[in-house]
Amino acid sequence: SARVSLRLSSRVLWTLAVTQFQRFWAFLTSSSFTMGFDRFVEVGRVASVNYGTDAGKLVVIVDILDSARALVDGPTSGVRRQIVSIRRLNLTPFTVSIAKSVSSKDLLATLNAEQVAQKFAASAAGQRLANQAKRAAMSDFDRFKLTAARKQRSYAVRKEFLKLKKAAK
Amino acid sequence: SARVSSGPWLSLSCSFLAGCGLFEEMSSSTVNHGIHTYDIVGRHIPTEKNPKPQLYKMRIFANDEVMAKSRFFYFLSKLRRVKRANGQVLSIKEVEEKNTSEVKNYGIWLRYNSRSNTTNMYKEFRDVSLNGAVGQLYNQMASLHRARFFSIQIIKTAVVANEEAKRPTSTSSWARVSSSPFSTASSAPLSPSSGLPSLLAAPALTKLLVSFGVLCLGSRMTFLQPGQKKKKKKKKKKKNRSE
Repeated sequence: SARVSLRLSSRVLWTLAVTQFQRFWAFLTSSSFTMGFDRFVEVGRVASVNYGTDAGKLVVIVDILDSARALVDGPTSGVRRQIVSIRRLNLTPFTVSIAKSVSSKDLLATLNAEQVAQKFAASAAGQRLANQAKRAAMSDFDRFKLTAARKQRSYAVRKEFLKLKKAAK
Repeated sequence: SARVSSGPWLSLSCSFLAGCGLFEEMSSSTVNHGIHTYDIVGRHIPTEKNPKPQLYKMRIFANDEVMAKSRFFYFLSKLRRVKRANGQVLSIKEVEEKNTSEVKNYGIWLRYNSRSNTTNMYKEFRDVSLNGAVGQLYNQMASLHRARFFSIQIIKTAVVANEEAKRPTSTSSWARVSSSPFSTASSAPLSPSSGLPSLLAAPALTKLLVSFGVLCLGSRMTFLQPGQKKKKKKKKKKKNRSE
């Protein structure tokens, strides 16, 4: 008969399930299972400080204390090697390959070789920080110039919009 | 004693003083628990009977020299027939941390007075300096065991290698980050936790569940061959026991 006894093939199914599960487990515990995270708190991660006197400066995570604190060093931006809360760091997409607790001198050499500061300045986050710094440093005249420029822009946009609105009627 | 709070206040004050040229080194920890290590040498005051008393040295953890001297005599009077009234401190020096640019595991053996009795403990802390680790210790003892500074006696401190560390905070993946930048096991990432992974988002799981479900069904089902009749299970009738 054409009917298949499931009792015979249950062993086959079981081995299939086991191999599937083994592969699934290997995937889950592998380093490629990142759950969508791509920037990790790790030795060599470049980060910018987001709070405190060193806010806005680039640092490199040199060692990790626990889940809340890291030892960071920023020789290119004048940040002394110190323990910092991880919550005060904005992780960047850049990493440098360094040994754990590398000396500040060697770290500076690595950062200069890989041009991390320049790469960060060119990135979106770096440009955002630079613009924030510019805005914070504006004088009253600068603010006047900004308002004038915004008015000119909105006037030009409005003019075009009204033209298009009229043409659409 | 006034504890300096963390964060902007400390860094601002440090940077202001650094700008004034008063401080050469900023504190290496943003949260400075205020503990300092002192080496104190003291003795009984010289008397006619004993013009050259034995010198005793102790390493004391305290916030300042005043507290340190107090603790020195507290311990010394427990160990020897010396009390503050008949003792003298000959030297008190602060011990600086040699290397604050490397993270170390500190193992601390202590004994403390709880409300009912006194207990020994062994705790581990990860920090850049012994002062920081002992500061963490006092804070943790206060929070977890409601133990005050005066109830705690630190018996011994030691730097513990990662391999010999006993507590989970010291032996977690971040403590075992390899020193070589080029090994594949280096930089254990922190964000994907090494605990139980989420089983919710995987296509393989549906296959798994389906195959298991089929397995369960399969063990229950028996397909009839043509001509066979299904066997009915006879239910045993309960004997009527009523009389």
